[in-house]
Amino acid sequence: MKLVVDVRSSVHVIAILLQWFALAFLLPVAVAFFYGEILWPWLLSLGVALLLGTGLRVLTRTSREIRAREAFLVVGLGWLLVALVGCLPYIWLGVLSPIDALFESMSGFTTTGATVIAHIESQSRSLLFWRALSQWLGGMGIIVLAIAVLPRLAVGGRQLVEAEVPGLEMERLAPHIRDTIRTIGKVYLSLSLAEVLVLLVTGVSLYEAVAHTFTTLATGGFGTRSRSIEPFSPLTQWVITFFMVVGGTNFALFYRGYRAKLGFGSIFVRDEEFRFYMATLLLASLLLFVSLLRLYPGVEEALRYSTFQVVSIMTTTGYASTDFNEWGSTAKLILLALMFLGGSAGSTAGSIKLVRTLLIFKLIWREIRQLLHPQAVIPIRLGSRVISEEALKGVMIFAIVYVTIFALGSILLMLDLERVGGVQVPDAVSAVASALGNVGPGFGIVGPMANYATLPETSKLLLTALMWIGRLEIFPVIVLLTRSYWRG
Amino acid sequence: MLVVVIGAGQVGQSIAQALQHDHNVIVIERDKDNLEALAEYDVMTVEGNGASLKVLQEAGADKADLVIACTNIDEANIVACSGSKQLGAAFTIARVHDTEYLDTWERGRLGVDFMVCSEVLTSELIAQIIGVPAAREVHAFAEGRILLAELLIEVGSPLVAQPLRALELPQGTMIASIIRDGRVIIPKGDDVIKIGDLMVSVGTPEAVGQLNRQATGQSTPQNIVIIGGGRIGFRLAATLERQGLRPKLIEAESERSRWLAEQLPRSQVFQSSGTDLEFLEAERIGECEAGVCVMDRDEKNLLSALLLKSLGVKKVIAGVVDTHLIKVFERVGIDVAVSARKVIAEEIIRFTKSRITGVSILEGDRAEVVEMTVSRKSPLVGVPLKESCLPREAIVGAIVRKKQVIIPRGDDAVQSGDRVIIFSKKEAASEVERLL
Repeated sequence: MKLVVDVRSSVHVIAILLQWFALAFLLPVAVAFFYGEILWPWLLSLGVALLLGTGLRVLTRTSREIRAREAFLVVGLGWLLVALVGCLPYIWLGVLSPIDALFESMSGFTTTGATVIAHIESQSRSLLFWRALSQWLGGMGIIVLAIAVLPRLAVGGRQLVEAEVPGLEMERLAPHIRDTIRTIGKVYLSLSLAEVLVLLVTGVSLYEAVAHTFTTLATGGFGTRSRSIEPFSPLTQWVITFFMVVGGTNFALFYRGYRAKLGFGSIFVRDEEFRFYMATLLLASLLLFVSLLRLYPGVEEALRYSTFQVVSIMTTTGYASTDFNEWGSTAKLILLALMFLGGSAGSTAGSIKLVRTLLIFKLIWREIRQLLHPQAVIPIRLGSRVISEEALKGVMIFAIVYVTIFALGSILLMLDLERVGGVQVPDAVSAVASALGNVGPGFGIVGPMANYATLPETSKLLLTALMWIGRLEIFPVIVLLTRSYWRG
Repeated sequence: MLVVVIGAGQVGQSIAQALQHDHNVIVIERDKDNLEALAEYDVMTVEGNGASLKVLQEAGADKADLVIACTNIDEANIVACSGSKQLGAAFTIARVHDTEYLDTWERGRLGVDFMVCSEVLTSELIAQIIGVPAAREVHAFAEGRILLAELLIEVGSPLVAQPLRALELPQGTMIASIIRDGRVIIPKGDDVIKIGDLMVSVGTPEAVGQLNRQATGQSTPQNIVIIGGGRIGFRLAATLERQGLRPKLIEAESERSRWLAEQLPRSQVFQSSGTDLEFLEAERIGECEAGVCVMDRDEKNLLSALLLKSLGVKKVIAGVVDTHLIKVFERVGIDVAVSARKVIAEEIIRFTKSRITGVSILEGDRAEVVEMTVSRKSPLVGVPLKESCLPREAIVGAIVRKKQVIIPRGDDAVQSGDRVIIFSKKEAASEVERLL
């Protein structure tokens, strides 16, 4: 059997990736050192990553460049390996079993935010810091970060980025993909700095400000408390709401707004996806607000809870400012629907993403118009840009595949959970939608103030796989499972 | 004046015919038949390729006061002009079809002193014919964002018999002049419009249209169909879109119609032929107030124009390739037949007679409209117009500042870099140009 995929050079790139990734452990080492916490699991993890990376790199020494085909393998396998290495500290600190650790680690890097840790406050600060950091790194994209840092990857970078950030074409801000990524990276860093400062001003401790910044802008959702954002002051909750919205916005807009002559806001107002984003947020918040008015006496309270939860779920962050599991069915249905929307393209948010939803609405509208005017030629535009029929086909297929995987995943999960018994269909459905969309919490036993620990291991593995598939926007993973990918 | 004309097709022939008496005309042409057709005019002919330096020299382009390149091939015209310029020709004019070259020329000059684009001129002419129905003459400035229209005031107009300051004019327009018995009046607030006057208004296309409706009671058609999405059809649809209309554009070829739909966000593009009766009826094309047929073949235009007419379209305009057919078209019932070749020949002839860019001549030559950029040194900069040293025989009709169109009042002032559209009597014209 002859493989058409250049596995050697793919593994070589992954090896370089791992070497770089090892450095990420230096940060929790520093935190552990600072707070006088246990150090060896961190150093050991660092060692393992470095050794594995270096070993593989030497074994697969090659000068061949990777092509589009290899890029899928690098991205698909790379994410899996990073999650595997990233779960080591959870095991060695004695916090989680291997499968739970993998779940937690994958949930981190994919910015999902679903957790299996029951008592978060009793964990070491270095571990919670690592959890948050994994989301911050995963939000930007493991590969994207690597290309920004590593000269070796800059050459085949375009294919890699396209495999990691699929869907619509990445917006180029500079001729070199690497410069584009660095620009976006600077936006990410500046926004992070801004959020840390604002959170400090509202009275959050430095440690919690950094940890929450990491998981807000990455639209991740891990926190430092079991009851998520609930313990924080209303002001802090509003600040976090704002930065979640920022995390779900196309980062390229911030750069272009900063460069725009007509003023910062003009770029945002003119961007059709951003307008759709705002309109959807407002509408959903309003709907939820109305359905919550009976539950909460204060208008500010109802407004804060509804806005926070709409933003949190739609941007696929997954924080909770109250136990929304106790809300009525209407409220829950709204939240479930939002799980499928996601944030803007070019943000850290997951799920189907608004630009696709918007284009699908436009396709539906065109279909209706076409019925009335069969010979009319109606191109579909986003702003002033015409979207090619090819790209539209991609959008439709993505949405169909996404929903199909959601349906199949729900059935499989329900099948598995029935062995244990006592789980209701809405809970299972919400767990799958949440994992696939990289949201975090669901309803019922996997609600925002509960955790995923009680699920059977098989269910955890299934959800882990869904998070992985969801983060890479399905196709890079699916393509690895086809025969023709390997044999041409 | 020594004029060298390159290309003796229908355009070249018309130019040769118009200029033969007042100027010394030399025509360069490759095709023997076309050369023979020139025999009836009082011009000299040279056989050969007008883009070749040797031929140009032989024709005397080096000493020419004016070189007009008007073959059917855009690139050949540009090469002929830049070659003549190199040789020492004083002024060169190139005819092009493709508007892309117009854009290139506006930046790069290319050795061409003046470029005329038949698609732009023809589509603007058609837009004017449909857009402002009552106007005698319409000129477009600043890429069509400003119109100047001459309108005959007839019995029943609500504008007459009251001082101008009492009139409520639409926002974005002004009355730049009144032409009475051939005399040009720059009106003041207490002047009165009389029946039989020509009113010259300047402003945005919407406002000028509105003013003309107000003056006559006639309305601008809203529902317009264009059949044929070639260059003229495309330009026309784009021009109409700029005037705030949403024309229907019908193109038979599938890829072209897709391209048109992508380029023209406000038009409704259909992929169909202009003679598909079932389609025309289903889309109720007959209810359109104006129809324009601008396909590539005269027979197709004629057939579809007659079809539109029979379906009930009120005003039908057809494009004609062969200038000889204009009369035939109008004879069989087409309201207006427009020939791109005739339009461009007229433009070149008119230009040859005036020789200044951006100038439109009104009423014979009693008044002119200049479109110019205000220089930094101009004494008008920063001074309110009512206090400026602008001659009394001139009036600033519009100011284009960046993308904004301003119809100035007395308190407004021009800034350097503004493009101004100034209407002036002939005697003040040179003074105005000096001030800017």
